[in-house]
Amino acid sequence: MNIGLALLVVAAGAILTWAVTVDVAGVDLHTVGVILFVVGLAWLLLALVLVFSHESWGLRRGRQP
Amino acid sequence: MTKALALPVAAYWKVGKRLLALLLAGVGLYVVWPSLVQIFSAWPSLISLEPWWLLAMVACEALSFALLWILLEIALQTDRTWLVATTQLASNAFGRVMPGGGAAASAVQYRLLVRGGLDGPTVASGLTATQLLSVAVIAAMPLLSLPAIVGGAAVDRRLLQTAVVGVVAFALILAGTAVLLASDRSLAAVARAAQWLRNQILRRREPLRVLPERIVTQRDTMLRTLGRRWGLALTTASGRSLLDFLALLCALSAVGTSPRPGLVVLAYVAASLLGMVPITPGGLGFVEAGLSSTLVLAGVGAADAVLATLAYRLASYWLPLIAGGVAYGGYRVGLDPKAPA
Repeated sequence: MNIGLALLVVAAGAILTWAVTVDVAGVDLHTVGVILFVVGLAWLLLALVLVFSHESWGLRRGRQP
Repeated sequence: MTKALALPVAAYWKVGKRLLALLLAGVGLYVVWPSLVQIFSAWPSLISLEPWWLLAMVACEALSFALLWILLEIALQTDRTWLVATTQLASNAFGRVMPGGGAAASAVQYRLLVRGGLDGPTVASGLTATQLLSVAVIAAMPLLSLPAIVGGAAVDRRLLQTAVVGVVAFALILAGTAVLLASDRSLAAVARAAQWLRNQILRRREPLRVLPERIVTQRDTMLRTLGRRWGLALTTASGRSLLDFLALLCALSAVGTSPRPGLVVLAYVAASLLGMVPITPGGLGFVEAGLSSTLVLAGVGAADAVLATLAYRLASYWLPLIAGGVAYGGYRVGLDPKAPA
């Protein structure tokens, strides 16, 4: 669950949502952007939860802070 | 006799400094009061905004804070997330209600972290590294507007000046940091100057004698730690500012405008720089006035700019203020009762 990859998905979603003005037949780029943006945020949230829970798991097992 | 006379002088000096800071904050607020009133008068219109975009804005801000905690953990060489998160939120809130802004917040954060059991010099160098990295990322953000500018977008002259200031600041920070990281002698000279200044100001305290050596040792330790995890440190520092910027774009979308990110980024950088001016707490008033006017320069309608500024500041200023109060309670609960007060 890489934080960097999640941020890349968020950034890609943001670019499609706000920066791209090209029309592609059959594809609503704005909607694709919003979906990527939301998926990226959810992915980032999950990655952060895993990072923080991994740390507290390490502490519970007696690792020195 | 001398000591009896000297103590009140020190106390007067302390009170005088605080009064001066309050006076500055008062004058600052007086200057920006009309803009502040204009922004807050848009309060009832918040209810008409797109709720999903508002939710996304709050999510971006919350995730931005979480990324900052990871960056702090790397710089402070600890994995005590609870301590790092609660002290960051509490000190951030403190810096937003007290004149002195970031400096006051850093002093409080240092004290809370040391009281929580972290090593003082490590905290000092870790907080400095975090701030330098954060400011460098914000200063580098105008580079994101280059595609829009090169692509022929009509850019207001004042926004271009913001971009130039940001890029110059980024270059200076980069050069200064490179010198301090590479040269022991330069870092020791800066630390010696800081030591001299501190000993001159606090004459009645035990004078510092080995600050240059300690700072050089701390820098080496920090470089070793960041050296192993520099990729994550850079990712979290950039991700944090990116999410904060995206929160502003979400606020603009919630209002119903179609923002041009290449130009809005310049407004964001200008607002971030204004937020660092320690005249009013957290740049209150200055950021609101600056952000709404630079958004107008970036092509957003005046009424929309005011409403988007209000929504963005709600998530980036007011909600963290409330969270800070709760976090301080959490910090007190998590504190080891045997730790020195």
